[in-house]
Amino acid sequence: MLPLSLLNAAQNKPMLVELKNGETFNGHLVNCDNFMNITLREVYQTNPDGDRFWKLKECYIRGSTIKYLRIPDTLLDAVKEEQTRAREAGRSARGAHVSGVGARVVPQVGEVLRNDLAVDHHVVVPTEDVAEEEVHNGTILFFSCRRRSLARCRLRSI
Amino acid sequence: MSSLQGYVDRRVLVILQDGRVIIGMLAGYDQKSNVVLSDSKERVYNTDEPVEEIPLGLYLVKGDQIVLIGELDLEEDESTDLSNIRAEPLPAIRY
Repeated sequence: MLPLSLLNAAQNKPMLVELKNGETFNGHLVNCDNFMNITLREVYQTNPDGDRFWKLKECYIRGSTIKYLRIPDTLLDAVKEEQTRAREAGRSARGAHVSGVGARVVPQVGEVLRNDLAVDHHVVVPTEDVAEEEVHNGTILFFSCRRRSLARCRLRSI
Repeated sequence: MSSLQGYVDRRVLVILQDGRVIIGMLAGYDQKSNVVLSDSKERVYNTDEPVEEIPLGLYLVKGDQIVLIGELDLEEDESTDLSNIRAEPLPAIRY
């Protein structure tokens, strides 16, 4: 599972963020982006020595300054379950289609797919709009992590 | 190109740039080597005290902070008696 998809699923959950300089921020995640820039609310900030504290209503942390994030353990199982549920829902929706030609394959954001052309060539669907457009005869346009380019391949979920 | 796919769902040891040693189950990774570790513990080595293991839970470590990821040999890890080990802690990285 992708670190960013775990973070996206952690919205509204409490977490601890340690920055590269050793400062820690305890708060609830409001939002995050692809650079791991995050906004937190109800934040308790601590300096690196652990002897000064601040309470902030809201804060924005640039992703490049983050060393690590500590997230509630329960989140991992919750997200994995949600991913399998979404995959099952996608599969059953696909099976419900009448004709085989142009069977619509809609991968989930962040889902890892296998390219029919090369077995170990993992590709990741980066955004929803890329996933939903250009679906034709079981092929799809997506971003290939290996080739670092847009590619058109047949899809099969792992 | 080497990838962390072979380490997924295995217990790994991660060394960070500040010299910390974290052990956990590799739950996920991405192209920037950001890493998700579940059930993780930090091992603190000391010259005059036994090894201290601090449980940390679910950890998301930024890739730019990671120096090394190694697969843990579970058998050897079970058989090592941490209370007998004395070692100097790793210093932080110097550029």
